[in-house]
Amino acid sequence: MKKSIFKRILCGFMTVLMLSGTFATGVYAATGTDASGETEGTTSSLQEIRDLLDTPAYKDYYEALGKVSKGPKEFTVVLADAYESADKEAEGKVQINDEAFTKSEYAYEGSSKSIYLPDVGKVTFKIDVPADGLYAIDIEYFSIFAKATSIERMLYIDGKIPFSEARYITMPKTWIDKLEDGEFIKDLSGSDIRPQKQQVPAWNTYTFADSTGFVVNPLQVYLTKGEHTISLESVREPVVLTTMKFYPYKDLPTYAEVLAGYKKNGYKPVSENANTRIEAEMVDFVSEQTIYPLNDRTSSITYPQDPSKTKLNTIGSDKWQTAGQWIKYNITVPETGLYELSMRFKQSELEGMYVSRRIYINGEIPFAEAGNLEFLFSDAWQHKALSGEDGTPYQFYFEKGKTYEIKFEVILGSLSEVLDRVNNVLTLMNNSYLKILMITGSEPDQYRDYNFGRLVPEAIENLAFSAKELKAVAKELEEITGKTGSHVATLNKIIVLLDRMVSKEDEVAKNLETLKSYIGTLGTWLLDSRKQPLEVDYFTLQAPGTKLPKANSNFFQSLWFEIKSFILSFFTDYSTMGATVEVDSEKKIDIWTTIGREKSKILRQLIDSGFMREYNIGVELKLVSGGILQSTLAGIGPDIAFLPSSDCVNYAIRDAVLPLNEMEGFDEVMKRFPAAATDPLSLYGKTYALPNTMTFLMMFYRMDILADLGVEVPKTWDDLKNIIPVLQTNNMTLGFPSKTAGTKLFVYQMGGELYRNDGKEINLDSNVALSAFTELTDLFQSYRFPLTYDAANRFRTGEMPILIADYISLYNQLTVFAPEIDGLWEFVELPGFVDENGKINNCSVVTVEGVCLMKDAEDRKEEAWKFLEWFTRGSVQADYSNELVAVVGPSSKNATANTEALEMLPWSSREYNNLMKQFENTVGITEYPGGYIITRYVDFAFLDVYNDSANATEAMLDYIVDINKEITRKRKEFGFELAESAIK
Amino acid sequence: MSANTAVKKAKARKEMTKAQWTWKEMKRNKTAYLMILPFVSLFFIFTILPVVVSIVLSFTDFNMLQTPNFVFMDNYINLFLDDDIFIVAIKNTFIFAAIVGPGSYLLSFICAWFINELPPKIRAIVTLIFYSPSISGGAYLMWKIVFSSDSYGYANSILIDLGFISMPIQWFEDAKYVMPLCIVVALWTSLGTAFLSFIAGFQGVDHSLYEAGAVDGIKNRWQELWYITLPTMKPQLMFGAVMSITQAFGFGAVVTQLAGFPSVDYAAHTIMHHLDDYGTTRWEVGYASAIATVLFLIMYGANALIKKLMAKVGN
Repeated sequence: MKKSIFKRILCGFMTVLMLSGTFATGVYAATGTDASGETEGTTSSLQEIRDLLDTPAYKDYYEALGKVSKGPKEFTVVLADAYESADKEAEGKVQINDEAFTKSEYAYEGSSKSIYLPDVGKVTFKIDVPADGLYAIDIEYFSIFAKATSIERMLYIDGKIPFSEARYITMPKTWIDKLEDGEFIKDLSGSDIRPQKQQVPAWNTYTFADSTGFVVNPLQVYLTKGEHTISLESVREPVVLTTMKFYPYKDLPTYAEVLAGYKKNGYKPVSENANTRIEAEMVDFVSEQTIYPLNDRTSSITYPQDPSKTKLNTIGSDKWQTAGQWIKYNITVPETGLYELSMRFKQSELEGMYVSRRIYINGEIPFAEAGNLEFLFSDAWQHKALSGEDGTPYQFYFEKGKTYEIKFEVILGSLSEVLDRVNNVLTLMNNSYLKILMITGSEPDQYRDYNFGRLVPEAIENLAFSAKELKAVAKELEEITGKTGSHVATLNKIIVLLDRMVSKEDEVAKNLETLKSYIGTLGTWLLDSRKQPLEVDYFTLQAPGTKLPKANSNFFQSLWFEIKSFILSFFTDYSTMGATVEVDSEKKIDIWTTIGREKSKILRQLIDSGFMREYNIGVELKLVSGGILQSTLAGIGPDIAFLPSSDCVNYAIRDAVLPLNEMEGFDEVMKRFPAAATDPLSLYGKTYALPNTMTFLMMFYRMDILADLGVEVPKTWDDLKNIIPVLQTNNMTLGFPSKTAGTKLFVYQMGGELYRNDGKEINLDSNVALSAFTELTDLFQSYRFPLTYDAANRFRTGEMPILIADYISLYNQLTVFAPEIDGLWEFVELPGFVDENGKINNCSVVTVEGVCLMKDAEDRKEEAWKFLEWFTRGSVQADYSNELVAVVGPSSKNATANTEALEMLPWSSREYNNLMKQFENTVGITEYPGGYIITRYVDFAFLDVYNDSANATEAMLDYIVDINKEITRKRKEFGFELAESAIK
Repeated sequence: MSANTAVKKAKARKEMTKAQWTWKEMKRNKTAYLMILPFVSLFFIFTILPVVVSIVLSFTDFNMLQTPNFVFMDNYINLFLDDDIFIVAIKNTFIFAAIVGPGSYLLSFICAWFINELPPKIRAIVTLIFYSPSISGGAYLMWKIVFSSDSYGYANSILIDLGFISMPIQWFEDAKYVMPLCIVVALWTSLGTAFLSFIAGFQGVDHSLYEAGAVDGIKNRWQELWYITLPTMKPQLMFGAVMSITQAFGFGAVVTQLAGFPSVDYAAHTIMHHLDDYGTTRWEVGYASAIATVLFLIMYGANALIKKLMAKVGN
């Protein structure tokens, strides 16, 4: 009985729903009419996106070739001679140097001819291939001092990208640690300070390989005899090239063969006196700035160690875990002969698994086994000689007096092929999910017969194939690691789900939600499995047969160490936060920040090495969790504080923040920022803070989905409106800023203003503002965009393939949160309104954080200003932002407000171009007194319309009086001029 | 010597003024005063002084950063005659207090009464369970997930699944729902100190009283409750009532967490919010102090009222 009532209610509701559905479709059809004219822009066209997504993988390329032989012999192309043409962007920027490239002390000793490729555009070379065959490619390159990011190029052969791996040619730059007298810089308490990384322009050889590490051996291309063109299109960074060597890839000799060679040459083992120890943290070169020395306190015998001070004593761990990252050491040996290589290391992260490295000596892998060294898991430190499967240590031949360059490189090892397969499965699953989603929507009806088998047969087939592949992979993994760890368990869980979904059609809709979350799981799994963390304390070159020292301290050693640390902890001052320079200057400035420990440490270091040395002014950097207002009130506040723009101005009108206009060089400093960044920090001609960060809205979109739907990236809101029905029929929606954020955006894009009369009155009752507000609420009402949603999650699953969001936070989130859609999305300029001149107005409204001088700085104004000037310099902002990425990780990109610094951040040139376009096309809204009231009432008005379908104009007008009243009240309080209407 | 002083004092009592006499007595009981000193000084510095300062500030235009000016009754005049939102806030506060105060009081009492009937071991566990919402600080935030405006929020997702709605309801952003939801959450979190004191009160009742009552003609549990249990635990009842009503009037932080600040259309805007609004958003501390003073007086009045009502228990 109860059930039937429930059913009846449900039926009733469904009828209502269906009716509203028909009504809703009517609305969609009605709005999707007017198409706007052609407009110019930089976003990819549909075709470009499709091309990008359709390129085959290397594996397929290789298989499609069938049986082809390797090229008979190598040939080298001098690129400066082979240069043919450059495209529009690169034209005029390419330079050919006949003389040796002498821009730096690291000038090349070999070929004297080189060619400079700019960081934009595509450059084409003509090559002549002597014979058909497969060739591996080596490129000699010189990394120029530029942004803190690797050089990236895309490789075209005869105008086409041969396989998808060729899109990601990553040539690392060379980095060194900044040391003083060969040692780490110490702070006042004697603790080591993490050295700053410095780019050194240097020559290197790049072997054309898969940047993700899935393909371990070099990539080979098939070239027929005769003329071909090779083009390199820039993704990031300029580079200088000399030659490109094409050669048949040969398998390396085995260790047995090498050993036989040693015997033949009569090489003898060295004596134990020749044992040499190399501290791993004292690197000579590393490939990325993120690889920096670490402090290990887990073992008392890690060298060097100190019970109270921080000693940098190891390297690696999670900073050295991505395929392709390398560390180089230059070594010399005291005796000529055969050595063993042993290492004290720790691999405590991949349980039941091993991590892989390969070793190059003077740029060559000495034998096949050295190309795949495996380090097994253990909770504790291990000390082992590099050895073969049977446990006999490998021997390496070194000569006395020569300098050898030993390079350890992260590789995926025998996992690579397995992970590559999982990667493909992930793509398939993602595609299938999207196809099904387009039929069912994100809330599938489990009782409906969707008939997937007929509608999307390939989606179901792909799921079946994925299940099969994953099973094979799980089996293989178990064989490789010899265990069923948590690793395999994740895969098994996914296999069970896939099997169930494939077995019966009505299970598909039921389990769609789970599939979505499992895709995320698999993405994370893949990302985790690609990590190869290894922490190294030191390594030893030693006489064969030398007994290895204990890898871990014994109980009493540990105990004594702990006791010492405990006692000393009472006498150590931890609050100094690594100050290295003692300044006797009387005028010490106090800076308070809320940015967190890691970030303030970086800032501290920059202040020490830059500001304090340059000006000899003391700086006290304090990490606080708020309370700036209260302490300023009490007169014990900071001299400099980081505050959001509204606070800067609010403090300022109460005389708690000093105006900066009179400071020396103020006008010059202001040129560093776009006007939009300084507007919110200024009031009536006085500027109260310098902008630190500036963020704004941009449009994120999923390339794969738009390509699938055949939809161009929208350039105007009308374009967008035309897309909405397509998305909605496929059960997708849009992420759109609502309430005040949306209103501000539309008002300014329509050419309106938030205030009129110099902030005396609100301008939201103007025609422009009212039509902007109506436009926004109409969008939300007729398309029922959601107000509340988890942007990153819905973007990841494809429910919101177009998302308008704050660029920095979403970008940062997506880089770590959504590895499975890596390379499938990008962010571009916002769509806009077409104004009467036919131009698109697509400005974005900024949010700014400023650094300001508090009133406590009154008597050290000059010094504090110097800090502000220093901190907002392009170079300092760039250093700060780059260090952040290096230390905290790729998800901590900084939204600097400095135009010059923005260019130096590690954005790809494409990202940078898009970003820069929007960066320069922004508006800042002045924070007039009483401004806080606007957000409140506009939100109210918006919700009245959204929830209760009130008339937009009326809803807004209802609040205008209240807003103006509040503004007037506040202006009266601070003695600002009032609007005429308010005076009477 | 001591006898001599005693005589002197006895004589002096009549000659001395009241102040002198008090001083004398204080000196005599100095140990007791010394022992209460830490509490009194803390209480004075952190409770009495702020109240006094706040009352003083309510007659000024203090703005946190600049020297205040004396403005007499301006703040109060504005508050009552020119501030529409304050009237809304008063209305909301009274609705809130009227429902949540007695509601949570009764709820606490009934729960405590029932729990008291359980065997001791189970009682301890159940007490902990009932008390946990109020000790686990931010646990009420789960309501934010339950009533999230996202279509993936629990309430929305279930309602959509069942087909009752097709679009997510903006629970905490819709003036229609904000107040009722906040009241529900307030009741849920309210089993706090009052509840614990009731449990203690129930435990403290002397069982021989029930036997005596039975002899004297108590016929049922209701009579037992009204004539024996309640009068015996009057102090706890009093304490619970004061706590409940004060909490109900001061309920604000939870609403801010759930519904944002300010809540849409001021639908759940209480005096506490109004105070926050002027104190922290607009930094009109003088005005905020006036609001605080009014709230203080309202609470004081409410407590006096409760005392009157309490006197009737058991009569």
